[in-house]
Amino acid sequence: MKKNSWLEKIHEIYRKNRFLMVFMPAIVLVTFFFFVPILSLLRISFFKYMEMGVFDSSFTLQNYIKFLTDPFYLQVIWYTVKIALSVTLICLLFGYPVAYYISCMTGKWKMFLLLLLIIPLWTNLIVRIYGWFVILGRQGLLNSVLLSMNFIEEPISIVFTTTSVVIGLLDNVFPWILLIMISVMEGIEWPIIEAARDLGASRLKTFYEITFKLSLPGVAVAGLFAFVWSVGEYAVPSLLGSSSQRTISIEIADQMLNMLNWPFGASMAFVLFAISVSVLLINNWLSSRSNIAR
Amino acid sequence: MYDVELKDLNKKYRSVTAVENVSLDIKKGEFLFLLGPSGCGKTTTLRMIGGMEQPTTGTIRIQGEDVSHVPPEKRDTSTVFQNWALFPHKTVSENVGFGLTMRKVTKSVIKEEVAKYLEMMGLDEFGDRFPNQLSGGQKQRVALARALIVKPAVLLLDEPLSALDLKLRQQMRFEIKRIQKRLKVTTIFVTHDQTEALAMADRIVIMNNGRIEQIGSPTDVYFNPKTKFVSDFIGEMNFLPGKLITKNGESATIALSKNCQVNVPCADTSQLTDNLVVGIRPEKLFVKREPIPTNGGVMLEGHMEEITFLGQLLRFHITFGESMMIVDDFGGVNRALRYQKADKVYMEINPKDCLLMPEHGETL
Repeated sequence: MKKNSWLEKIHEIYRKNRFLMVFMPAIVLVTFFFFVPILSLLRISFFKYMEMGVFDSSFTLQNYIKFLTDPFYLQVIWYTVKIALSVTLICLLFGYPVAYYISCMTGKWKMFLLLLLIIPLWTNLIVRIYGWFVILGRQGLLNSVLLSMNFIEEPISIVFTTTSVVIGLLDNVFPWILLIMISVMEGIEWPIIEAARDLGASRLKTFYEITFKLSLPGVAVAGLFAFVWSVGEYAVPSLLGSSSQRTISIEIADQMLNMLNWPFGASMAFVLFAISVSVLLINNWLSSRSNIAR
Repeated sequence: MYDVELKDLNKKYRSVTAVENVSLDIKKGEFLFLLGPSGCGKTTTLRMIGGMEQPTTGTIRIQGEDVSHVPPEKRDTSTVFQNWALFPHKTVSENVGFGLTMRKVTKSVIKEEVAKYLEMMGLDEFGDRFPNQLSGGQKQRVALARALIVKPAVLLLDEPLSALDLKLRQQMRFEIKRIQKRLKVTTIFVTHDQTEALAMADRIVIMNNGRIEQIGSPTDVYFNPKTKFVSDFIGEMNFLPGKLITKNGESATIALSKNCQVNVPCADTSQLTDNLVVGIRPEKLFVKREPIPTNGGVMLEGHMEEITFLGQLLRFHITFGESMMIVDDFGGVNRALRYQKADKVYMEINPKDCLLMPEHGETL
């Protein structure tokens, strides 16, 4: 009886704090490897840069002010947001009909198309980016096809432009956007669509009143996903983008790794974070205001 | 004047025939039931009338107009779906008013009509709620109001009560019947629940394997089943194998066992075969201790197998020869005490309660 008392004590603690015990490993992991580094980075973003790798720990807003007022950096922010918005828009505009089409399908063909969507996601991102070099480069597939068909007289440069960045990002994001929208559209029950037809709605009216309205929350989530991913993506713009047009993430890496200006890099990282969070909040606000939240 | 006329309706899915040669006329204001086991084609028939399915061959007329290939939105029918299919993103009022909105009725009229129908269904206070905030019974009423508000020529109900619990189901049966009689709307109700059909229907169509087995009033299909399937599906029925001994004019003598014969009345004895089945309802058998008939019937000797208490009645399972008979006794619980398992008992049957049928097919 006495021998086991310490065991029983542990068991007692476990029983009373079952919830805490189960999540303890995750909590520890997230605390030490996520919150602590992030918070220390937040602190660094208010430090003052002295010289390469040397910071003064006195509080200053200078880094933020510089990033948010300097015309060069404002242009970088606008360029980044513009790219993310284009990717989001293209994803939603072109993804919606495709997702609708696939969600209406059944059987073998649907499985086949879904597989086509998923297989590229198993390929490493860097490999896929270099794949685009093969297609878009000066001597690439696209140029040789266009040349041989006499559409163009000399090779056009697509790699290292905004276009190639958008294409690279789409390659990344589009399959996920489709999967999100397909799953939402599949959740719309067929009898509901039949009920609308039965009550006198034409095919088009039924699509607008039922399918479209019910799919809006999914579209919102998909759009949010596309934006947040594109706005923070680093590998695609750094490999496929031009050296003169840089995105926030490239600037952050440059400041952190090359200039060793950690305070400035950190402040840029938090502005990027703020952009993503504000888009998320706007999205939530919009959907809670309309019925589509239900 | 018929509101719905079905002529030689067929529906095939590749190699499967779902509905075969269904012809049916439904009078204005009639409450008609399509009854049958799952997969018998009753729902497919309903969906063809509503326009959700296209018939492979045959014609559907609604109020005289051929609508066989007219899309659902252009038919004067409304459907209450099995799980109600309410629009989850619209309020109760918007759900109920949907049909009128699609018919481009002015907003003020829609508002008035919606209020009227919500009141009729006892849903006055629920107009601003969303479907997921309603109970099953309330959803049911919303679906009914949504279908009725467009004043359809024909109301179609596809197992609308199957998702409700028993008490609510019984209450809704009564309510739907009341509303149907009040609005005098021609109604087709699909169900697999025979008690529902018996309780509510003006006429019942019993279907099996895509075909119509019998059409008749509830009492008609219960007391005069035309096929063995119907006699088995509606209510309960004991089937006893029998051998034809003699035909004598308007009746036939059948041997049920070595020392037991019944003289069953039969209009057309010419079609009787040597081997027959005699059907008798459980409530038409009377259990006795002694082999002395008290109502001029015939006594069958058997052994008590099981006694089950079912509330208002006692159910005896009694072996008779090779057969297991079900006997329902409404005489009160005290009778249960008189019998025990394995007791030798006698069952009295009255020949006029017996139905003669060949081993397969139609009754005689």
